[in-house]
Amino acid sequence: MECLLPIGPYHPVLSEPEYFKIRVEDGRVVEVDFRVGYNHRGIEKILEGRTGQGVVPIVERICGICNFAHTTCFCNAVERIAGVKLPERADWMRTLTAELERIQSHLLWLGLYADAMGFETLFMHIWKEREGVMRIFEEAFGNRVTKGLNTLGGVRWDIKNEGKIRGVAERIMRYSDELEKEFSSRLVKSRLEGVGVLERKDAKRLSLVGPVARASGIKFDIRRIMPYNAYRELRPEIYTEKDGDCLARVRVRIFEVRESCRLVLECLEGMPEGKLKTGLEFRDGETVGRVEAPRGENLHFVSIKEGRIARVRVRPPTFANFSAVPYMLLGERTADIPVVILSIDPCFSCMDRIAVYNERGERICRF
Amino acid sequence: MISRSPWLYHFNSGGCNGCDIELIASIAPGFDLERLGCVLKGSPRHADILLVTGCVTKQAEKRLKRIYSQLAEKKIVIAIGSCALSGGAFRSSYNRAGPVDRIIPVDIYIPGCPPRPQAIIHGIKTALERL
Repeated sequence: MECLLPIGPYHPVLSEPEYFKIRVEDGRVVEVDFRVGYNHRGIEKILEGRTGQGVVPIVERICGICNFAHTTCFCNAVERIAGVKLPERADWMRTLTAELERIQSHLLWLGLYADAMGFETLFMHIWKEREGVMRIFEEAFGNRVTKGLNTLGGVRWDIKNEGKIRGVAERIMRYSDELEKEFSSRLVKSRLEGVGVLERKDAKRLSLVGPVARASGIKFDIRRIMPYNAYRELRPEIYTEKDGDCLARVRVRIFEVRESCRLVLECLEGMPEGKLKTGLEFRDGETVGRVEAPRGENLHFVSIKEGRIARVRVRPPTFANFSAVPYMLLGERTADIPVVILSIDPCFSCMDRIAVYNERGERICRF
Repeated sequence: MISRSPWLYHFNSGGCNGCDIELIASIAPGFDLERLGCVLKGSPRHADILLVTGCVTKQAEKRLKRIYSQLAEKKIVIAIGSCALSGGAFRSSYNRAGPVDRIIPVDIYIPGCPPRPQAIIHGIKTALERL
């Protein structure tokens, strides 16, 4: 029997508005179509024509989870155009906060993923550990989610709670071993093993990024390929899996949580003393900023003309990864649809970049 | 004393995820919103309180109205975050239909970008007293 299964735009499985049209035959997915754009807020347009430090808080509002990756990407790009070299301590502060954010984002996803599988106890356990990182952010930056740390030409604050950060990083490092044990239990394996498989050649063809690509065996990480900030000295280890299924994506992220904890501790050890920021003036030019956000490569194209921002193009990791979802879904059971969709860690608020209307105000473009 | 146990429905009208994640954080351990008898539900027909986050994009406007009409009586609406209240960073956006109170009546406003879980819990508790 064949039927059409609509999921979304507002659906309990998805925490953000998105629409999937899935054709199901005998309980198996045979065709997938999706529409995005419900979250489009026109950030790129809002940024145009602006100048000065006031643009950074707007860039920060692209995404509530990986906001630090976005501001780092944008600031690095503008600083490169202006030809400013950051003070060393600012570089290390950015790296430290980016790694803390990676821990927070991966734990968030692991928790939501456990919930999507129907393992609510694990969700609660993981979010309890994540709360530790959020409290660090609140103490250090005054806000739990949007940190407001980055500014053009450096960072705004110094960290005050080093001891606490070290404690939390060590605790989560220990917890990641426990997490690995939980996620390799028989029940979880029966749910995730061999589900949503993406072969290496497909992943390469679709140019995937981040943990999803690494789970399919592609060794791709901007922190190693084009080192920025303190990654020029710290060398994060890249972990890849061969299977390319949902379990592999979980394992890659658990490893990254552990690796990020190690990097945080290393950052605290090696943090040089010195100034936090330098002056910066908007200079004309254009460039591309690339950073490794928790979900993969984040790319900002920034063009400045006459001292004002002429164009910003944001290519977030979800935009690159999302095209793989239909391929992953084909042939899967209906019950596995949420598990497969969530396995790429979609962040639609990052990726909704366009909405096209006709003269009557109806949306006409599927994008 | 709280004599009712209201259920919640969360509607993301085009936010940046910040408020949504803080809302989930307020349900998770550490804050535990469920001690007030609140549970997040998947359908507005089962819910007494509608939690709206985000700046209400044009695509979301019609759907927000429809979901409001499906809400169980006595429809209480809580707007969470600066975007839902005033547009926040997206005030000058061309694709914004909000703020929320221009589209549906709002009972409780929780400011902040994003508000802390403590603030969200305080807002929901205030709504409970009105039920």
